[in-house]
Amino acid sequence: MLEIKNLHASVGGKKILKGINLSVKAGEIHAIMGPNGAGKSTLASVLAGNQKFDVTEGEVIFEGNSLLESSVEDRARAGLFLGFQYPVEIPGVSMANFMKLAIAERRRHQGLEPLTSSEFLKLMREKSQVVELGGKLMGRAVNEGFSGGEKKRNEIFQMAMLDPKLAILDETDSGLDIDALRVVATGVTKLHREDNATIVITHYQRLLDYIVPDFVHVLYDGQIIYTGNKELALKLEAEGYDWLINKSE
Amino acid sequence: MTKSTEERLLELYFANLDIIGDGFPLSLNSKRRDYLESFNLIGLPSKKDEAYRHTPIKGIFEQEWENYFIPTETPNNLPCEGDCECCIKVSNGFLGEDYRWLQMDNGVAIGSIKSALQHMPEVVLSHLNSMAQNDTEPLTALNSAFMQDCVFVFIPKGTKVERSICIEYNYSTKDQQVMSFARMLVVAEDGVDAKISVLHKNREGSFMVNFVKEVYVGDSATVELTEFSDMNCNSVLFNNSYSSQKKQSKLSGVNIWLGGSVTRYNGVGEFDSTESENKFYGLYVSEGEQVFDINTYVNHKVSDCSSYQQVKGIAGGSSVGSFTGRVYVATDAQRSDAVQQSKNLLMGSDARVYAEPQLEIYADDVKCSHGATVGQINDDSIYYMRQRGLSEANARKLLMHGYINDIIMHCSIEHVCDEIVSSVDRIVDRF
Repeated sequence: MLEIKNLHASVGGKKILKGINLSVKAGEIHAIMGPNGAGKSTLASVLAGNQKFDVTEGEVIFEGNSLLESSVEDRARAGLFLGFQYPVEIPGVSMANFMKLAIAERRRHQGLEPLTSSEFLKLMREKSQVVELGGKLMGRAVNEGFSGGEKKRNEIFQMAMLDPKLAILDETDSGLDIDALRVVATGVTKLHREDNATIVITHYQRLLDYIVPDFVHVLYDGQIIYTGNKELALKLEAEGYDWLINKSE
Repeated sequence: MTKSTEERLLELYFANLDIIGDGFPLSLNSKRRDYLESFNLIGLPSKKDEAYRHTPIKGIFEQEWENYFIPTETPNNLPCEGDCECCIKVSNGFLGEDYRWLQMDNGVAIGSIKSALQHMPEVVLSHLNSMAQNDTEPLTALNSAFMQDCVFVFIPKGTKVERSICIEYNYSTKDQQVMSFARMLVVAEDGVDAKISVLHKNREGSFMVNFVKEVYVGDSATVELTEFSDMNCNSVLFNNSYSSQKKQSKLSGVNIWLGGSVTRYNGVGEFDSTESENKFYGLYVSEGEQVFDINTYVNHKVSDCSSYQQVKGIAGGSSVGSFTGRVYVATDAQRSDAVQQSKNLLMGSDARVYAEPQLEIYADDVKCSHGATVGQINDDSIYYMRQRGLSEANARKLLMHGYINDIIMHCSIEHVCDEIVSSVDRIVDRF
């Protein structure tokens, strides 16, 4: 589904990603861990198409097509979803209206007719249960006045609505209390299927108690220095990154 | 020697004295000279006056403006588009015969002030000019001197008006340039609950409208007032609005300013008794070389009142948007709660925005805040929306709609909202 080959990226002339190689197949869950400043969020942003970053080398193939040439919205329409670390507040735009437009774009890309109002409302009701999000948030403006937990739940709700092929969740667990973490993580698990894939970027092993990854990658200084299974996360939690960093250097 | 603009206006007044005062009692007409005197004393403000530095008033008045002393057009008496309790139409400042006096079963009355003087002279005489600042505001004084016809809205004690009361001012001429002294007086007695809409529409011809509105809100009354102006590109609108609120009353105003070459809004809200609430939402959308000069003054002269003001602007092209708001809290006005916000979006590379929120506080137990922002569309928001599949153009549009909706959502008169939204959309789509 996703093939990243020797990806290099920089921001303002500073090299952040220095040759990432990663392959994600349908049905897989990948976790990316690593110390602060390793380039985890940059990788997520580059895949989503954030223009703040310059890709200097390498290629990314998503569903058989080169990803790097297409715009942010075209990547999204093709089924790539980014769960933001800091979801943006959009005053005056209701969640319902926002989602209606987003879904219409996604469906248009798939060659489908837009949903009727009642189909859309049904979908909203159904999907808001994935993250135990009350209907009351739907009438409110996008993320405006939402608590930290509500914002993250809202990201997963949007993921449920848009039904992406590949979801990249950028530190979705940061700023969550234990209950919210459980709700968000269970939501992600519920959405997981054989025909989609998830990349979870996280600092903490506790998220992986709920979302069981097939692979755990350690990103350090712009490169993936180690790949293991879910046991690796436990070892990292107990021992930190130093043993890996020393080994790679 | 060439005459000054003030002298020309005085001459115009005296030449038409009889027709201006026709149908008004002597007690009212005799005051007109005082107003004219005060206008002449203060004179027309120039750009050197701090409060008028964005509005070229003198220059505007120096142009040739014709004044209609008799009605030239009959207001169209097509039924109002919306679901209204009653609807009145005004043409170039005058009410047509059909609208002289309408009285509903619930006691709500609406019509010309001259008819009102026949039906309820005490009410009219005790409120007309009681709020307008005729001794300090030259444009208000000028309107009070020249005023010939005036829309009078009366809502009797304890009346809950289910549907809205709609007033539509139409300005239309085929002549060169015309000035109009349109006027309005609203008296909402104690315990009233009502929604009022005031529309200024100018489809054809160039106008200089010098409008004055007085709104009285009685004890425990709740009034929602939506005012929407959409003027022709060569027209000028001076909107001087005054309100007086009694104990435990609520006044919520939604003000949308569009079109025109120059729009100056001067709003004055007075709390005359305690525990009242005043909300003011405003929005202008400017393009080309338009000027929108929005001024508000809220007088917390008594204790325990709250005021909330939010004025937003979108400035495109090389337009100018300005907000000057002052909240005054008197020594005795303890426990006042005042919020004042001015938010502006700069959409044109040559557009300019000025924001001056001001607080003047003499009491020591108050909660007051003010703030102003001037910015551009947030790139992070655009990125976020694009990541969900929206095109950049649609994301920008949706963001602007959201920005605008923050103000329009406070108007609960559906047909007026629809009209505002479609007019605003028309402009925003051009950005």
